Formats: sequence, C-alpha cells, structure tokens
Amino acid sequence: MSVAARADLESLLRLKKLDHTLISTQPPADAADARWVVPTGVAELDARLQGGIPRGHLSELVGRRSSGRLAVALSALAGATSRGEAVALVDPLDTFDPVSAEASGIDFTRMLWIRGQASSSARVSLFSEFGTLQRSLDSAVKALNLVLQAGGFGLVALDLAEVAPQVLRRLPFTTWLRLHRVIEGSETACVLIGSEPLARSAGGVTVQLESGKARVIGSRALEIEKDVCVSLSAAVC
Amino acid sequence: MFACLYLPPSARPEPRTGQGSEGSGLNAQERRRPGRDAGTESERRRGPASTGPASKGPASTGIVQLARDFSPRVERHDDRTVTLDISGLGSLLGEARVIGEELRRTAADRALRVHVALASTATAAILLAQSRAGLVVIPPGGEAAALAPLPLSALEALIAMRETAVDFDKGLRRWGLRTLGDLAAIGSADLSERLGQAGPLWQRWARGEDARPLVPAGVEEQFEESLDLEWPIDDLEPLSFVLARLCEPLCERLERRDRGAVALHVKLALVNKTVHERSLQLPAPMRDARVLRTLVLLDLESHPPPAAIDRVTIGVEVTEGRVLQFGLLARALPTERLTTLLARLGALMGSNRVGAPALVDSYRPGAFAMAKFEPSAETKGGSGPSGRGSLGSSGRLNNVIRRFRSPIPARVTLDRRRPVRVVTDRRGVSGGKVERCDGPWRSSGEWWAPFAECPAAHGTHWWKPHAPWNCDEWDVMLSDGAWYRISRCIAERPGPPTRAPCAADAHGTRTRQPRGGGSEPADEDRGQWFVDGMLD
Repeated sequence: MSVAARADLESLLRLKKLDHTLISTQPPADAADARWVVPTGVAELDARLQGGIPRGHLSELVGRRSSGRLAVALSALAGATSRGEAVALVDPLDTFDPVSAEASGIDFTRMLWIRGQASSSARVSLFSEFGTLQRSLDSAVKALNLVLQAGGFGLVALDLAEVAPQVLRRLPFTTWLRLHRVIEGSETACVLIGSEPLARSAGGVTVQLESGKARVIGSRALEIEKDVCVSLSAAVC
Repeated sequence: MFACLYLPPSARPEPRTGQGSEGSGLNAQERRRPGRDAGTESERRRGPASTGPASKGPASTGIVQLARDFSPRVERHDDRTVTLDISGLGSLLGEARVIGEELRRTAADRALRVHVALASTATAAILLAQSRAGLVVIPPGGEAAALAPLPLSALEALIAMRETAVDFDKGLRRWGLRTLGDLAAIGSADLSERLGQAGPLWQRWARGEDARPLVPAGVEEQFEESLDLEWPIDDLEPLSFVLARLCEPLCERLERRDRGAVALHVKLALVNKTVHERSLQLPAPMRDARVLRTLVLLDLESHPPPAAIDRVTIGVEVTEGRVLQFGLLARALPTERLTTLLARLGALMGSNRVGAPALVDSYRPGAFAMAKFEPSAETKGGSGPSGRGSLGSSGRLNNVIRRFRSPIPARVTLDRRRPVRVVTDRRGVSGGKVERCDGPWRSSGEWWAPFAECPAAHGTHWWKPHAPWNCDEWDVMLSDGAWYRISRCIAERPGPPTRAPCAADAHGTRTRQPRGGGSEPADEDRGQWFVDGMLD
C-alpha cells in the first residue's frame, strides 16, 4: 500500500471517528509505564503483555474453571489499589468471596463491589433460572456502564465467568461496542472475566489461561505454573 | 438608645396565660418584618450543628427571641443578659418608657419575668438591668447619676461577664470604695497607676460609658426552598424540573455564603394530606445543583411517594465550603461524581448491594460485610511504588474461591473417609470422580447458641448469623480439571474447644482434622454435603 493511500485511509477513519481501530506494530514509548497499562502483578504475564492491561480499552481474561483467571484479575486489582487507584468489580452472580480475596492484597477500602441478585436467593437455581440470570446480567452491564462513565477508576472488572453462554449470547452485540466507546481515551482499564473470548476492543488484549499444570501443595495452596499456562492473544500480532 | 433584658436566676418560666406564645405586642405591620420572622425562625430551628454561639437553655433562647422580635441588632452577653438596639423603635412605639413597657408586657406574655433597663449606653442598661428589678428608664445624660448608688458588686458582675473574675476585696474595697459613684469620682491617672489599663476602663463602665459598640449576633440563614404546585405531580419526570427550580437558587445561596450542603431534607406534601419526608446524608459538603437534584430524584425513585405531590420543600443542613487541592497526577474521583454514581448504582442494584467489601471477625464460611465505599487519598504502599507484588509470599497466585451464596446440595461417596466421587443435580456443576483432594478443615462456632437454630439440624446449609455451625471442608479436583470446595454440615452440636477457652473462640474455630484411615464411617461422617464454590 502506498504511503498516500494509507494516509487517505487514516484520514477517512479519523473523519468517521474510527481512528481507534488503527493499530501499530510499535509499542508506546514506555509501554510498561503504569500511566498506560495496569500491571497484572504476574511478572511473566506482564512481560508478555508489554507492561500489563492497556488503559482505555476493553480486555479479556478467559479460561476454564480453576485456570486462575479470577486470581489474575484480583492480582491486578490489588496492584491498582496499592498504587492508590480506585477499582471496581461488577459481580453479576454475587460469587465474590472477600475472605479468600483478602490474601491477594486488595485494599478493600478502594474497591467498589457491585453485587448482582442471581444466586443470593435460597430458591434460585444458579444455572436454571434463565430469566433471573438475564435480568441480573442486564443490570450488571448497566452498572458497568455507569462506573465507566463516571471515570476515576483505574481498573474495572466484570466477572462473567460463570454466566451461561446462552445468556451471554442474548446480549446485543452493540453492548460491547458501546462500552468501548465509553472507555475509549480514558485512564480506566476494563477487563471481562469469562470462560471464552467474548469481546474486546481493538487496542485491548485477550489473555487465555490454561490450568493443565495446577497442582496441590502445602496447605491447600493451588499453584498455577504461570510460565506454561499463559498464552497470549493480543491485537498486536 | 439601648435596652437590656436580664433574666434573674430565680426567675422561672411561668404557665402561659392571656394572648398565647406568639403575641409580641407589636402591630401586624411589625410582625411581618422579614428580618424579624427570619430571626425568630432561626432561633427556633437552631440545631446542634449550628455555627453560632454555644447552645443555650430554653430561657436564654426565649429572651433572645424576645429581643429579636423588637430589633435585628441584638447582642447576647451570657445566658441571662441580652442587649438590643432600640434606636428605630421610637417612630413605631413611642418614647422610651413605652418601649420598655411593651418589652415587659411581651415578656410576661411569654412567661419570662425579666428586668428591663433602657439607657443611651449599653453599659448603663446592663448594669441597671442586673441591679434593679422591673423597668428602669434613664434619660440621655443621666447614666452616671443613675449608676452612682449601685454597689461595686454590680460592676464585678459586668467585669466577670466580659473579662476574667476580679477580686475587689484586695483592691477597690480596701481603698474604701463601696459604690460605682465612688469609683467614678477617683482620678483616672491614680487608677491607671494602681490598676493599669483596667482601672480607667472600669471607671468608664462605672460612669455608664461604652468602651465598645454593640456587636450584634448574626442571624442564621435558613437554606430552604419551597414551591407550591399548580397541578399535582404524580410522576418523577416532571418533578425533575421542579427540583431544578428549587436546587439552583439554593445552590446559588450556598455559593454566596461559601457553604456546602451536608444533608438534604425533602418534604413532599401530598394530595392525601400526608407528608412524604426523605433525608439524605451527603459524604462531603457540596453545592452543585445538578448533583443535588440527581440525588433527590434517585432517592425518590427508590422510595416513591404514595400519592401525587402538591408542594415540594427542600432544606439543607450546611457547613463551611470545602477547600480542595487537586494533584497533577493523581486519579481522583470527585466526591460529587462518586456520590451520584453510588446513588445511581444503589437505585439500579439495591442500596445494600453496592459498597466496599469488609471482613468479619469470624471463621463462619462465607462471612462478610458491606461497608460504605469511601476511597481515601492516602495509599497504604505495601507493595512498593510500582504497585506490583500482589502475589503471595511464595511468588504464586493466591487461591480465590467463587462462593455460591446458595450452596449446591451434593452426594459424596467416601472411601476411607475421603471423598472419591461428587454428584450434584445442578446443570453446570455436574460433579464427577475426585482426582485429588485436600482436607478436611473443620470449622465450627457459636456452639453456645441454641442448636435448634442450627441450619444443619434441618438438613439445610443456610448460614444464619448467630446460629451454631459445625462443618468439614474439602478442596477437591474433579475429572473436569476444576477445583471445588465442598463441605459437610455435621448435624451435631459443635462442642466447646477442648483447650482452655480464649477470646478468639468467640469468632469460631478452624482446624485441620487428622485424616482417618479406617473404612468404618464414624458418626460425624453422617451429614449433608454441599458444593460451596469453586477455586479459580
């Protein structure tokens, strides 16, 4: 492609406000700077991510159960709170356990926890009450939208890991595009925690976690071999 | 011309007779004076958070209120003495004696037995009111002569009111001075030589001269706006415009006075003759009309009035305005925006489902609490400046559990008292063969509470606060490769710890049980199993 044609294309994209879709093979000047990324706290993963989860974009942490996706997310949240940033966790199914999360080092005073309604009732079945789940997910997405619009948060996570895929598929595709437009250009990094890739913005990353090397050691500690279980699928390829 | 109202210590409020509490003896035109009404209402509504003088008793409030009904220039000296400037009342009520009689009559109507003194100086009025009962009126120029026969103790009270206590026995009385007239007759130079600067000052007071002008106490402004609606409103959307009309002038007044609202009080007079009241506590002083309107609207969305609205009143409790120093690099969430966000999230998800997680001092599985989300400016800095270091001390990721608030009932097969197979009826958590397991961890507590309240006694897993619990927890890896936390509720009363009890036992206990090697199930192996959550 000639230089002139590329310039025309870029100007057209900017005219349509789609210039955020432009990607570059060159990382920013200081990619590891916390002003541009949110480090996950896992050194090997941050090295692969060129510093961490990019701010102003929608990223994903996906994997099977017990693959460490929530642990990685909480590690990133803990790192953000230790830097004095406010963070938020949108929890549609109300499954967050503060006792086990406390060991991650999160400063709870800086963490906004938004709890859904799905599994709080004694009579609601977690995987069968389709309508309840759908309403809870809709509320969670609206809550996420409000948090991102308010700004001021360093990292916002939406935990969709245990939401049934058929419920997720009922969300309009424009949901994620709208969220991306809200977060674009801000200093907030947004992470979706799921079982399979769902949506991410052009500048975001998708981190696929695998749990093949998990083993039990000591006092119930679950070790995740980070050097072999992390594979990276980013926009920069 | 000044008047002084003095409430002697022996005077007690009397039962009200005659005209009632609101009769001030003034004509209707005087009663409608804005300043007078504002002052009266201000004193009536003065609260503990008031920024004015210290809170006074009802008698003191009564004489201040009485004084404000006659003049906006009122100075309160102590709980029992109030001075007011009556210079402008001559054209309304007449000469000084008439004004004094009107003051006494109004005080009597309000069950206040006060001394009233009128003089051309405030000092003379105070000294005479504190010394003589009834009504005393001194014509201009006659202050010194009227004060001359008063004893020195009258001046002593005035000095104590304005300065520190003075021992006259060691000074003036040893010189043979007995009355204010004696003090006024001494040469100023002699007094200055012996008593310093205080001597001439006391002498001026003894002559009835003012050393300083009257310092009127400010009238507290009430920040309240009301609007009577022409047509009843039964929807919140049109109410938004009404609230905007009320909040904007309210915030302009707050801006002018450099005040911020810390609490909002909304009163909605409804068509069914009831009043719907809501109060909002704000986390920080704010005066943004849009924020206040949004907060009120969101609160009314959660707590709508039961009928259409006839009249809207918004009042705010105020405090001094905030002074903020913003940083260049810090990512701060403005308080106004955060408050609005929390209000919106509370309206969307439920106010008890939004906040900061908090730990509970208990071993009860799944115990937690919700706290208010108020991120502070200070950083703990436990992980270093880079913010990296949230890994455990061993450099590994910490285990995190996704806990089902409704634990899933399960059927667990045991072999040598260890789980070998887990089966549930729930889709998504189907169970399977146990590949690996770790446990058991026994957790128990509240053993002193009645066991009938224990959910395990009824075959359920619903942890109730202050109910006994007794369970074993296992972490098992099933054939799908995922780790789950399962627990067995032991349907027997948890016992007290075998060791000597300590303070920590009040929060329950959590110990690792030895693994049994026999195949014969023990009594404690009988109990309902549940899947509590999964490790991720």
